[in-house]
Amino acid sequence: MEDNDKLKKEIGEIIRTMNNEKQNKLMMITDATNRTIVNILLLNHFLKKEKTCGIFITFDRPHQYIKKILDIQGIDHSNLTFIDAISLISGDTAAQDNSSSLFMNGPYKIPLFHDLVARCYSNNRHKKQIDLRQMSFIMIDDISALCLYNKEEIVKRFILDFLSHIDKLDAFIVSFALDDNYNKELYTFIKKYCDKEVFIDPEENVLIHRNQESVAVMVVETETTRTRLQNLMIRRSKNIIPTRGQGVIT
Amino acid sequence: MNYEFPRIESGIKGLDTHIEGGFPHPSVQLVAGPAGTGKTTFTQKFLFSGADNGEKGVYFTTLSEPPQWVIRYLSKFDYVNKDHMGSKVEFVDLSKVIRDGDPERILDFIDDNIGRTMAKRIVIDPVTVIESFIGEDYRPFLFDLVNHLKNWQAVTILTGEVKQGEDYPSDAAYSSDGVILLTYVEDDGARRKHLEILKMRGTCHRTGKLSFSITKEDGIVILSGKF
Repeated sequence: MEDNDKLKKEIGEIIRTMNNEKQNKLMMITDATNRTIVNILLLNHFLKKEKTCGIFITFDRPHQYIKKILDIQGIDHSNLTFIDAISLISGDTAAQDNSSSLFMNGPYKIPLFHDLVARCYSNNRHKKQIDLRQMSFIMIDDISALCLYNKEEIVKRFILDFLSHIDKLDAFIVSFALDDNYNKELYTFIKKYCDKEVFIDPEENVLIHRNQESVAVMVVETETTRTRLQNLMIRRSKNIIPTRGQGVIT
Repeated sequence: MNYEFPRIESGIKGLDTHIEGGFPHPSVQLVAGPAGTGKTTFTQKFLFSGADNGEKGVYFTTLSEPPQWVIRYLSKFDYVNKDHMGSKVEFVDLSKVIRDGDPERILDFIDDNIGRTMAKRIVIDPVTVIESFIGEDYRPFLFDLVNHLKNWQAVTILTGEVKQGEDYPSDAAYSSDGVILLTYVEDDGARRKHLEILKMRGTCHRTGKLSFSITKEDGIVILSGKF
């Protein structure tokens, strides 16, 4: 994370620009294996730099893994409300033992956003109200995981409803970290509604703005950067898309 | 909207064509076999290939070989970029915490190191020795371990020593998403090595034994002929 100072600065610029332009939906495209780091970079900005309050919804894994990384990175998460939709079916009960976070019964039958917020409960089973007006950002990890548990129309309905709620709130940023190589349909769907799309690779320390046609728009400053970018694009273009062949599925 | 598993390249020359292009991400794969079949070499190639692509890896040694000796023999392979040692590939010794025999402490130690490094590729070599120290807690430990490892969003290889009379270490095999068996057969006075993909969840994988060799340049190389 110390190597990503440049990225942290660029992320800060993006959020600031979005706030100034009254934009609130950010799509961060990154390789699936980099999603965690990208989320941490965003949380670093919101929690450490801006010291704002927000919500982190986990559909993919219990929230304590992100909490642990935040602790190690020295990022205070007392202003972050976790809504954990997966712990109860994860077999990983540690998060539920002594957590002040909120839980859902599961990532399936995903309700509309307003119901999701109303239905989640704290560990002692008391309903805890989240006041969205106190929040400055929402992050979802991982929006594509919803496709594992819900039909396409339900996922789309959730996303549209979620985004319409966001639009009613002031000074709110919502971000999706997504791998467009593996989730093309979902990416194409969400992209229509996002104000800004960037491609980010923390390993190469690269952030590329994409325009409406998802074409990279970037000024390449040095030859080193150009070479790194070329290597990154070559590597990304070789991203493995599974192909069916002879054999058995187990 | 179908959900396709991201996959990461195994780093093993000739293997990925048999497993739909790579290991599902995240997942836990067991590589098992008797001594000398190339388990450690397999894991090292996995880690160093990832490191060449910028992916952080952690190699946990248990009670087979301390990191010092692993690195010493590893350095003879050409594919090892020594710049990665201690940076993109970290070596962590689990032996002390394993000897205490407390499954929760072992898990916490592993979690702490993965959280610290944010590794995308993890190796625990070998995992089977842990059973001697935690006894009947071994199966629930494996359940928790596999869960934790996948929730760290990494691809992990556990290695398993195969005892005499067993085909593969069953507890670890049942807990893992994939099982790759390394064996050798004696043929005209020589030992020929074979790799077999016994299972890999969510993957249309090749069945049957595949011959492989170990070379200085590439580590494990799957040969094109099928046994």
